[in-house]
Amino acid sequence: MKYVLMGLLASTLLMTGCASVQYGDATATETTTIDFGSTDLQITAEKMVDSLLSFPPIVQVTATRRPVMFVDTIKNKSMEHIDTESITDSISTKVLRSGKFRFVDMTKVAEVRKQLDYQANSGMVNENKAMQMGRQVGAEYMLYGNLSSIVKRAGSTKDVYYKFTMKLMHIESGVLEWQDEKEIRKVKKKSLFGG
Amino acid sequence: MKQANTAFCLIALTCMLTACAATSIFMHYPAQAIKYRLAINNNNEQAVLSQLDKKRRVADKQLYLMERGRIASLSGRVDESIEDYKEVLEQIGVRQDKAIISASETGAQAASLFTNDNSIPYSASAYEQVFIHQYQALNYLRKGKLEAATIETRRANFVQSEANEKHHREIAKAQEKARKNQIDVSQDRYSGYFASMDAAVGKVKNSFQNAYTFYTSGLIYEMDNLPNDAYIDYKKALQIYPDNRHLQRDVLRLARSLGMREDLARYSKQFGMKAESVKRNMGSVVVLYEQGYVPMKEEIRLPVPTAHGLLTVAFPVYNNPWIKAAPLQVYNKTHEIGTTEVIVDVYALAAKALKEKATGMIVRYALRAAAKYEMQKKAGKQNALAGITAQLYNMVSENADRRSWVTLPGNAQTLRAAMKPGTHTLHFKAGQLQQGIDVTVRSNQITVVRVVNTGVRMIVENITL
Repeated sequence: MKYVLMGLLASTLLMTGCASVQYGDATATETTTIDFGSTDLQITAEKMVDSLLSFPPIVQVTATRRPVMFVDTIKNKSMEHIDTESITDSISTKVLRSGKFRFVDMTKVAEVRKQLDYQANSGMVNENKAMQMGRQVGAEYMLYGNLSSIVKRAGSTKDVYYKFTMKLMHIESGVLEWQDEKEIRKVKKKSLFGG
Repeated sequence: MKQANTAFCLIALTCMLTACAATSIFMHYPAQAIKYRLAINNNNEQAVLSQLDKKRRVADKQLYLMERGRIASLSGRVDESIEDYKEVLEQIGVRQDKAIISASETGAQAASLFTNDNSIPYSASAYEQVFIHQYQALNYLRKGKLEAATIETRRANFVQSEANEKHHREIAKAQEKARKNQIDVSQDRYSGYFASMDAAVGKVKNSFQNAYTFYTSGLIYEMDNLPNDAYIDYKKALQIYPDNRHLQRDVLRLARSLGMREDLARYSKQFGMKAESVKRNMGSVVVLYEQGYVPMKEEIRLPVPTAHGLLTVAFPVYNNPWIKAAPLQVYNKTHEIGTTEVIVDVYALAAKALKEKATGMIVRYALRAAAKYEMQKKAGKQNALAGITAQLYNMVSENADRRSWVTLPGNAQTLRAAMKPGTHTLHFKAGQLQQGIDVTVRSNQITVVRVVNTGVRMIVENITL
C-alpha cells in the first residue's frame, strides 16, 4: 500500500513536472525534425546577405550611393510548405540594416495607391501638404530566387538536400549582377527502439 | 471458484466487445462507412462531419480523416478539408518516423493476435496517400494557391516512386516470415478465393502509380507556366494509362511547342494523329470527372495452413464485378464539346493494393488462427464452459479487415477542349443526371471544372477562380 502511494506521488510529480514553458535561444541549432526549420532559415539568410554585400562589384556600386531594390517572392520548388516570405523578410531586413541598399515594398502598392488617392481626391487633405502621385523612385535592382529540394529515403535513413539560389538583376539592363547558392543537407536515422 | 472465474472471464469479454463496438474491431468498417456515402449523396454532410470530427484522437484517425477530408471538400468546406488532409499527412509522417521497434506498434500487432487486424491502427495504403496529395493539390488550387498545389503534386510523385521500392522490400519480408513459420503462401493455393478481383487487378501494373495524379500534376505545372515539367508528368501519366485521347493530344501539343521532334514523330505514329495547331488567344477548359465510389471490401472464409492443420480465417476481398466506365458528355449551349475518357480506375488500384498485401496478410492471419486455436484448446482443457466461451470469443472476434477509404471515386476521367475567351455555360450529362455551370475562359489560361457523380447526384465545382 505504501509503495502504491509513493508511486502515485511520484507520477503526480512527474506529470506536473512535465508541463513547463521556457525561453530558448532563437539562434540555437534546432533539429526537432528533418523539415526546413529556423536554423536553416537563419543560415541561408546570413550566408546570402554576406555573399551579396561582399561581392566586389556590389561593394563598388554601394560605396557612394544606396541603390533602390525590390524583393520578388522566392519560388518554392521543394516538397514542403515553407513560408518563403519569411526567408525573404530575413534577407531584406539584413540587407536594409547594412545601410547599403534602399527598398521598395511591392506588396503594399495597392494600399499606397489608395492612400495617395485619398490625399489627392478626398478633399480632406491640405493640398500643399498632400503627397504627390508619380514621384516614387523606381527600383534599380530586383532580388529573387528559388528553393528546391531532393528527398531520398532508404530503409531507416532519410536524406534531405535543399538548394537555395538567389539572384540580383539590374532591372534596366537585365544583367545579373550577382548570384549565389546555399546548400543544406540533413540526414535523419530512425532509432531502433521507441514509443 | 472455477465458475466464478469463468463468469468473470465472460463479463470481461463482453465488456471488451461492447467497448470496442465503436471501432472496426467487432463491427466491420463498411457498416460504419455507408453513412458517409449517404451523407454525400443526400447533400447532408454536417452530421457526419461532426461525428468524424470526434475521431481525431482514435487509433484509426488516418482513415476517418481521409473520409472527412473528402466529404468536407465535396460539400464545399475547402478549408476544413485542407486541415483534415494536413492532419492525415502529419500522422503518416509520424508513423514513418517511428522507431524501428516501436512500443505502440508492437503492442497493436500483439493485440491483433487475439482479436483481428482491425486492432492494428489503420495506415493509409500508398494509393490512398497519393490521392490525399492530389486532392490537397486541388483544394489549394480552389483557394488560388498555385505554389502550394505544386508542392502537393511533388509530394504525390515522391510517394509513388517511394512506394515502388517499399513494395518490393515488403513482399520479400513477408515471404521470409512465411518461410520461417512454414506457411504456404503460393499464389495457386489462394487464387480461387480471389478470382472475383482478377478482372480489376489485371487492369493495372501496380497499385501506387496513378495517371490521374500525374495528369493533375501536369495540369498544375502548365498553369504555373512550367510547360517542361508539365510535359514530363503528362508523359508519365501516358505511360501508366496510354488510352486517354485527351492526354495523348496534350502530349502531342506540348511535344510540338517544346520542340521535342523525336517524341513528336514517335507519338504521332503511335497515336495515329497529328499535333493540333494551337490557335492564339484561345483558352482551355479541363473537366475532371469522378464517377461512383470505389467498392468496399467484403469478407470470405479462407482456409490457411497452420501448425494445427487447416484453419479457416475471415479474409477481406473485393467482390464487385469490374464494369467499363461510362463517359460524361459535355455540351455548351449549342453543341456537344466532347466526352470524357478514363484516366484512372480506382477499383483496380484498390484491388491491386489488397492483392499486393495478401502475402503478408496470409502469414499474419495464419499465425493468429494458430494462436487463437491454442487459446481455445487450453481453455477447453481447464473446463468445458471456458472452452465454449473461448470458442464463442474466437468466432465473434474473427473479422476480416475491411477498412479502406470508401468515399474515393470508382474511376476518374478527363476532357480538355480549347474555347474562346469569355463566359460559357457548360452542361454535363451522365445517364439521367444533368448539371450545368457558368465558367469564365481566359486566353492562354486553363479553366478547371470538377464533376463528381455519386450515382444519384452530380456535384459540379469550378476549381480555378
